[in-house]
Order: sequence, then C-alpha cells, then structure tokens
Amino acid sequence: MKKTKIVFLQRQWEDNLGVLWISALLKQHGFSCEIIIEEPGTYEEVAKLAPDLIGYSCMTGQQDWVLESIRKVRQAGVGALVVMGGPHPTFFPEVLMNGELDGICRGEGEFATLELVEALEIGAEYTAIQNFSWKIGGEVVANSLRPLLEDLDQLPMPDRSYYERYKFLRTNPFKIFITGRGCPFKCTFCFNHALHAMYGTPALYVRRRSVEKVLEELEYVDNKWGIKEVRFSDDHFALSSEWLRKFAPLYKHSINKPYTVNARVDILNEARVKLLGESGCRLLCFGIETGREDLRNRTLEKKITDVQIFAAAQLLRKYGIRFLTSNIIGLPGEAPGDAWKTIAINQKIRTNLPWYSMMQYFPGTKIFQDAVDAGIISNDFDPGSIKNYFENKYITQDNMNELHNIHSFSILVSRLPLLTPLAKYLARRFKHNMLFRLIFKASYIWLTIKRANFDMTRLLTGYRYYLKGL
Amino acid sequence: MSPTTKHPMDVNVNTRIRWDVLRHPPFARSLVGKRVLDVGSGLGFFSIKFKELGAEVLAADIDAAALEHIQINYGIETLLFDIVSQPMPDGRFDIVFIGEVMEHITDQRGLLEKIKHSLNPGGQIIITTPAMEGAFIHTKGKALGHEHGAEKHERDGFYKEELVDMFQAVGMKVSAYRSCIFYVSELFMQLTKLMYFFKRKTYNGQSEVIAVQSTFSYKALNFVFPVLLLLFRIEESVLSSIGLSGHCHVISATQQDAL
Repeated sequence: MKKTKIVFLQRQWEDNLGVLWISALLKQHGFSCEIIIEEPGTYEEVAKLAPDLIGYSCMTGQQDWVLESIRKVRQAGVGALVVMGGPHPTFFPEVLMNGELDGICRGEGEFATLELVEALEIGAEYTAIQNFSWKIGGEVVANSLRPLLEDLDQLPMPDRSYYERYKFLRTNPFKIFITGRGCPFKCTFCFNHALHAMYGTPALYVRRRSVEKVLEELEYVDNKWGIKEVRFSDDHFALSSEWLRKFAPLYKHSINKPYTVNARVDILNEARVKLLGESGCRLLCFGIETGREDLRNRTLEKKITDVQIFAAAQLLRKYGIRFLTSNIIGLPGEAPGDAWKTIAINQKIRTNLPWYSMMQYFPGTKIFQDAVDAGIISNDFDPGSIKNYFENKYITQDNMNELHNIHSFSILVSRLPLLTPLAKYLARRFKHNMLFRLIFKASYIWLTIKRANFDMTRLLTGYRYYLKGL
Repeated sequence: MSPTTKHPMDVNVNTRIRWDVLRHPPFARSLVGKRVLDVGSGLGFFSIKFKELGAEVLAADIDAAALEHIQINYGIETLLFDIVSQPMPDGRFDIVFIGEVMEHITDQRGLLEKIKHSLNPGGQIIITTPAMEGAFIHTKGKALGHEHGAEKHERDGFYKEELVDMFQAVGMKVSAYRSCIFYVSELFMQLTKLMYFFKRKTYNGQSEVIAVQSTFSYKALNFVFPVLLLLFRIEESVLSSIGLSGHCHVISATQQDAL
C-alpha cells in the first residue's frame, strides 16, 4: 500500500458514481481511499486519518455546503490539499476563489486525480496536471483539459466498499448504475452544450460501457449486497439500438430485476420500447419541459415535437412501462396560459408521475446567459440558492406569482383534470401562500409514494434518506 | 333477411354515434355518384348508409362471412381484402372510409400512403379510431376482445395530433375533425362487450354478431335501445359543445394539391 491517503467527503446518502470510480482507480493503483458521509464526528475522524488529499464532488447548489465543510476540515487541523470536482467547478471555475479551496478539477476526474495522487506520493510538482486549476498565492493557475476517456471499460468497477460501513446504502433496495457517459444533445438549460464547447465536440463524446462490464457490475452488487430495483442514471439509456438489443436479453437472463431509465421520446421507437419492456424496464423518465412546442424547441432547443411525446406515451403504455415526465414552470417568456398547456399535455397523455420544477438558471448554461442578457434574473442572484427546485425568487419576469401558484397545483391537476378550472381561478386570484405550498407538498408526497409503487421498504428507506439529508 | 330488417349493428352505440357524426357537416357531402371504398367494413353498417345516400360502394374486409351477409342481404359489392398485405383494388375512389381499422395495424403511415394513390383528384380519406384522450381508454373493458386474433389491437388508440401529423406526412390536409363517444356511451359500450364476453369468450369479427341476434339479451337491448340512444345523443351534443375529448376520433383529410 502506498503512503498517500485520500478522503472523499460528501453529504448525500446516495452513490456518487464519479467518486466511486475515482476511488476504484486509486485503490487499483495501491492508494488508500475512504469515502465518508458527513455525520456527527466526521471531522474528528478525518483529522485522525490525516489524509494527504481531500476531495469533493459538487453539483451546483451544493457548493455552500462544500465550502462550509472545508472550513470545518481546516478547523479540525487538517492540512491536506483540498480539491473540488464535478459539474459545479467544471462550469463555474470561479468557485476556486472562494473559501479555503486549493484546487478544482474540471471534466473527467479519474486519471487526473490518479496523476495528482501519484505526484503527491513522490513529492513531485503537481500544479501543471491537466484538468486541474490551482489557487497559488491568490492567483489562479488553470491547466488545459485532457481528452475524454475513449474506452470506459478501462475503468475498474465502481468502488462500493463503503457500503460495509453504511448500512443505509448497503440495504437500500434500489441501487444506481450507469452504462455510459455523454449526451449528444444541446438543450439550452443543460450543461451539455457547454461541455461540447469545452471539448470541441469530439467524435467520441458519447461513450458506452460494454454490456458484459455492466452486467458484471450488476451481478457483483446483487450477489454481495442485493438489489431490488436498478436505477440507470444514464442521460439516454436507449440511445443505441445495437447496445440495447444485446443488453436486454442478457439482463433479463442474468439480473431480471425491475429497472428505471431516462430517455428522450424522439428515440423511442416500438422496437426499443419493446426491448425495454420485455427486459424489465418498469419506469421511464423523459422530459416534456413545456407544453408550448415552440418554446421547447426554440428557447430550450430540446428538438422534440408534441407528436413524438404522444407516440412515445402510447408505446410505453402498450409495453407496460410507467412514465415520469419532467416539466418546467416559469420559463423565459412563459405566460400562465403556457404553463397550463404544460399541464394539459400531461393530462392528455395521463402521465403516471408528473414532476414539475420551477425554472432554475444554472450558471454556465446557455439559457442562463440569455436570461442575464434579457434581464430576467435579478441582480442579487446567488447560484448557491439552487437547492429547492420548486421555488425561484430570482426570476423577475411578469406573472411569477401566478406561475408559482400554477406550479403548486401542477401535480394535483395533472392527475385530476376536473379540478383544472378551479385551480386556474385560484392561481389567478390569490397570492402564493402557505396553503398552496401545502397542496404542492401533499401532492409531491403522493408522487413519491406512487413512484415507490406503494412498496413500504422503499418508502421507509426514502424517508430515512430524507431525515438524514436534513 | 331483407334490407328493411334491423341491421345487427343498429344497437351498437359506437357505430350509431359515429354515423351521427359522419352524416352531418363538416363530414357529410353529397355522395350521389361518388365511389366509396369502405375498408374494414365488417357487417357493412356504413357501406349501407353510404349506399342509401347515393354512393357506389365497395365494402372490403377480411371477414368473408360478414361480406357474404351484406352481399346477400343488401346487394353491396364486396371484396375479400387484406389492406395490409394486398395491393389496393383496381380503380380510383372519391372517398376511402377506414372505420376502426388503424389501431389494428402497425404501419399506419404506410397504409395512408398506399390509399392516397388510389384516390381520385380531390379525393378524401375519412378515418375513425379510438382516441387516447378518452377517460376509459386504458380500461380492461376497452381492450376486451382485442388482445389477439384478427381483432387484435396493435395500439390502444391515437392522439389527434398523431393523426394530423400522419396525414401531413403523406401530403394530405385535414379538412374536418370531431371527437365523439363520451362517458355514458363509452361505459355502455364496454358494458355490452362484457355481456357479450360473459357467454361467448372470443370475438373474431363482426360476422359473429349475427348469431347473437336471436338471444334474449340482444332482443331486450333492441327494445330499450331507442331510449338509450336518445340519452347518448344528448350527452354527445352537450359534451362536444364544451370541447371535451371523447373516446373516438372522426377525422377527414383531402389531398393537398386538390385544395
């Protein structure tokens, strides 16, 4: 075992596959690596471990916690190098100037972190390692990005050894897996177009692990800790017909557990949906975003038509796959009538699980810049505020009160269309209030219960996760 | 049986309501002398109505017994014909009527493309299909009898936008649309199906309905149906006037170049 010790700290009680992959690669190369979830006593434990490197994976919205955690690390007397990776520093590198962060890692972190740790091991210079930016003497030293990994199979199986320590994760009946990386689409509200710009749209931007490697991981996890339901977190699980044709029968034969995927409706033809349905897919999540087709395709650049949504909904029903749709209320230029159209399309396709968020502007996305240019985002906008997807007090466009009200009624009226006229009246007539928020919370709890398919084990697990996350 | 005898589908609420829609504007046009192809004619309820309005009708179906019934009893020209696998019949048509057929096939766009080429200039395709928008479209009663065999449904139904898109894709323009068969009539329809399946278990085409005509239930239904039909018609006129979506689409399209 090499002497350099690495600790990853996180707050969320769920797998962060990026961290699990880095940990696996570091262990494969003989380094000691711990993944620790913040609990009482965590920082004393970190001080005892005396790591040489502390890493955080950070999504936008989590950065305040990360910076606070670094402060606690320092208070505990830990002098390790502290770095942050993940989407937030990748698209928002200015975060490096905050707090006591030493460096950030942009893009894929596995081999960059390995190179850093190997340099620390031999005491070599590390400030020129690709993907990393460092804060040295108040100045930022930013290095170029290394090419994307071409073959994901060269990575070892994600390191889930911390399940042995955390019973909550070990006994969690639904476990997260990923079969590939990269999304070829460029929706303006997502980071992908920025990632395309960073990497110059390489030919191998979308990469897939081999079916054999994915099944090997699933079998290992199932045999060791048990899986009741698989959640594939790929952006577009059904992107490749060829891959799916190979995967579906093998999965059915060797794993045979219900699973959940994300997909775009424009790639869901009958052959693909049939393969998904017959191999055990029980829930498919897709984005409608808005019921106004022009807003969806021009402002959001989603490039999906209403007809494709209808056709996909019909196919999913035919093959017994429930579907969850993600929808956004409060898009730039959206009027209350447009938000009702979003609800109407969900009513029409009878979405099993209609999920609605208020528009959130993530720094680094194209829509964020457009909104800044159009003056839609107020001057006091704080990226750290993106913690609650169901409210946005920083949008300055007209009708935001009514749009918040519509959001409060969205899940309820999506499932009970007869209430639409009453909800329309209430949304128009009253200020956003506690009762409306309560209606949303109640309908959101119903959505969660339904998503868990009324499975008490899953519900209790989810509730415990919720309590731990508080 | 003479043409004046009640047609077996006279007590079918779905058929009767669809005809109510079809015979009125914007669908009704002068049919005198028009050549009409009724695809999936079954027992020919619509073929007979078209003929009564002066059209020259060719009833086409894969149910030979049903075709024999309407040829003998109503003197309608028939053709044993599988629209999916066989080429279109000779000659050109002014109207091709496709009633409750689209949901039985997989390549609907290909079918429309094929039919379009057998239309006279300015010709029209009229389709009726189950509507995905209907409140009871996903019930077991709706699917009953359509799980397998000749009557198997390849899909539950269609959204209006899908039908419009299909017509546009083959270069035709939608000229009229109506949604029909609402709550009470759909529930009644499903109830009659349940009664049918309570005794017969299978359903392989409309010709099987002929045998039911002598049963007590059918006679009882025949007796009360005029009153029920009045109720269904009131429901149709009220709910369609407020823009609700029903369980059936009635849609017609014309060749774009002819407009």
